[in-house]
Amino acid sequence: MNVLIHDLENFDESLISTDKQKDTVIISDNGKIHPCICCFSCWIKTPGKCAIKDGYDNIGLLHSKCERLVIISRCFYGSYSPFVHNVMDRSIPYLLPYFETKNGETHHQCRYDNKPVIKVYFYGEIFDMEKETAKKMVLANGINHHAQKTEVYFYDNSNDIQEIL
Amino acid sequence: MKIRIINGSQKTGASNTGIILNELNYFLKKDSEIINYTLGIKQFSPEIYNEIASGDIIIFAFPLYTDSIPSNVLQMLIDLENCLKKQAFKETVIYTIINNGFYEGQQTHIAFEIMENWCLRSGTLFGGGIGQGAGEMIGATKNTPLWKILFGNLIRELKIIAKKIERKETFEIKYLSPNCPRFLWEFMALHTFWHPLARKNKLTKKDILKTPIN
Repeated sequence: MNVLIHDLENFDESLISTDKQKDTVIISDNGKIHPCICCFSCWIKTPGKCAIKDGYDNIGLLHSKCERLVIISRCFYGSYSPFVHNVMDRSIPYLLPYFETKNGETHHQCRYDNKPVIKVYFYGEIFDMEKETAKKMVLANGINHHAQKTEVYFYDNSNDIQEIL
Repeated sequence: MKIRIINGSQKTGASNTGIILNELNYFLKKDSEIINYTLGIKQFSPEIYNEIASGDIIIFAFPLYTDSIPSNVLQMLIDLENCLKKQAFKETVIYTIINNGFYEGQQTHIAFEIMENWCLRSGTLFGGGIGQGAGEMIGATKNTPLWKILFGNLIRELKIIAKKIERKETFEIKYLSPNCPRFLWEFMALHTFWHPLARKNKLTKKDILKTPIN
């Protein structure tokens, strides 16, 4: 299964090849997403389940099932757009409150055995410094989300993005 | 001097970010015009954005989310960037305090880069900041004798930067971890924080480890 998170107003389905369309869950902005409020219910009240029932409460579960996590986001200062960021913030049910050390740094253990590939397509007018920051951020996201590997691409315009899956 | 301080925590009640800012406020001189704002999960009104943009100094404080800036703070920065760009010939200095739940304050470094990139876009000057580790332990220990032991270095650093902020001085980002070895922090995090919270909800470690499939 693949998960696609995007912030495009008009999503072009041809970005996903016909044979993968049925097996891809698309997460887009319906204007109703609520920010993660760090209540930690997903760790110490209803483990693995988000308490905010706004239609985006299954993000952690989707992370646990996907082979490829694909993100299309406008780049802001080297980070995601607020919507895409919000979706990523809501993925913490995928993790455990327990810790492990990787490369001398503390990280959360993963609730599941899944190791997705994370591919991020940033678009917009992006400064070189912002590109460097974005690469570091996606790499760090990959470590914290227990990804098999991460890939980052940059485009001046979202229309230039070719087939992603 | 007009100082604007923004608490970007998304928590609805008391926050670790709020505790840090209370300490900082204590060290700032009272002859400055200081206004504190709490963002929460909503956005500010245009009037508030203008009031923030009128500051000589803006201090942002927030927790780390997904190795970066929380989504509500990111949206605020986008809106504030447009406000600040309208102000010609005014040098606003930006200071940032970021806390994260991991032991190492260093893990906030990417969020600091994002803040520096934002400063370039908004025509402001990045002045420096503090990246603090063990953020969740701040609230958990604030009213105990452990607070001054674990976070004595943070309190000292806040006192130092308060003076520098009032002079609009720039300084290197200071990354801080709690005053204890990592294994002790991890032990305390599990046995005095996460497990007691879970027990209040009648959950065991086995329950915490559950892997829901739908």
